[in-house]
Amino acid sequence: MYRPNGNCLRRFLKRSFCSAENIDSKVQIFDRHLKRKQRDRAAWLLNRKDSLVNTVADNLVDRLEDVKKTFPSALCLGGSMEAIRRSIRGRGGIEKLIMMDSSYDMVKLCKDAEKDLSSDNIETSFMVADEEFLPIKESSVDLVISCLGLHWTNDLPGAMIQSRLALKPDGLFLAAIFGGETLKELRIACTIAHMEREGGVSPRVSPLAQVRDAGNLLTRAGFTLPGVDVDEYQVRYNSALELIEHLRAMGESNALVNRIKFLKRDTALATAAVYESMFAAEDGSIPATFQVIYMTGWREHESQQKAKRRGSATVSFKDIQKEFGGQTT
Amino acid sequence: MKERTTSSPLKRILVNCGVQAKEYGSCVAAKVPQIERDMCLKEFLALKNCMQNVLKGKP
Repeated sequence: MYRPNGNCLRRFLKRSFCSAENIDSKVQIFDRHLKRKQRDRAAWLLNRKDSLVNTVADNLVDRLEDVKKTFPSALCLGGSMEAIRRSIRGRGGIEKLIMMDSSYDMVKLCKDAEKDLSSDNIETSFMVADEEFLPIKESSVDLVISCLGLHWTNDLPGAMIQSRLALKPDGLFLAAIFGGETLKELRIACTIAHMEREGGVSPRVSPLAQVRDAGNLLTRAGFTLPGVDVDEYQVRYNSALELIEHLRAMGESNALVNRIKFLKRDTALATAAVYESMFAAEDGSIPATFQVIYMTGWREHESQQKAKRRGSATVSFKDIQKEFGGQTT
Repeated sequence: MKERTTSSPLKRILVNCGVQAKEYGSCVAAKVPQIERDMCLKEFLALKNCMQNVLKGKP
């Protein structure tokens, strides 16, 4: 039945909800369902000794040693949970660890690996849940760690806000995500080959956060004392195919909603040829850039330093200059 | 070139058609950033021909 006032009715209903996010305006960039299936497959393909993943996980967990606080309870969100679990080795004073991923197979993999690590005295529990809909009680964990998982969320600020709410006051949020420079060679090769072969462009690499946005993301999510730093890793492969296989094994295959679901064999061949001719080194190996952005943020607490109120200075710069005899006018 | 019986046809193609792939690649790389459709068609057809030979089983 046609209702001419349907739109007005819907708008009225929307206004009466006090939700922070309007469901209709949420942009679906990634197909989460497909991502879950890819991660299921990655659980089987993943190489325990993968140096990239292990390096990033180790680097992330290392930051726990930079703080004097201990974190008795911790939540590990998606990405490379297994690598994180192996890297902990007693750092950070973690006693209780919750491992969470949207893929059941990944969680099962971690559970099976737990047998080898039982000497760590960490009580682990496992959960299958979505990072964008955290089923964690508010203010219940001291630490939230996410290693290379959050760049697949449709609503990254929302996921970070939920992480912050799950943290106790003075809790720490540690995340590593891929940055905008990641796989730039692949992006270029794909675009060029696609344009030459088919005349158009199709998105093959996800939109990734830029370093300058990372700080904004942290403050927008309400974290205090935000810290961002970047690491760029160049990984060499024998051929473009190996790169794609590696990405598949890490669970990082394309999951964009508006991807072209069909890669013509000609275009794939052209991409590999272009990649190798444009970026190959003398020994024939091709490089791929992985830019990892490490983000740290804390949940607010009175013990944290705050910026002083404007106008509360007691010493002027002129006095300081006179003290130290600097050149002045 | 080595005869490989890897399961991935694309891998076999790239191994056995290295010369054509390189020619196609350098043709495209030389014309960057002005890319137009089918501007390296000749080289690509040579590569495609080689690919089809590999897939047919290299007579």
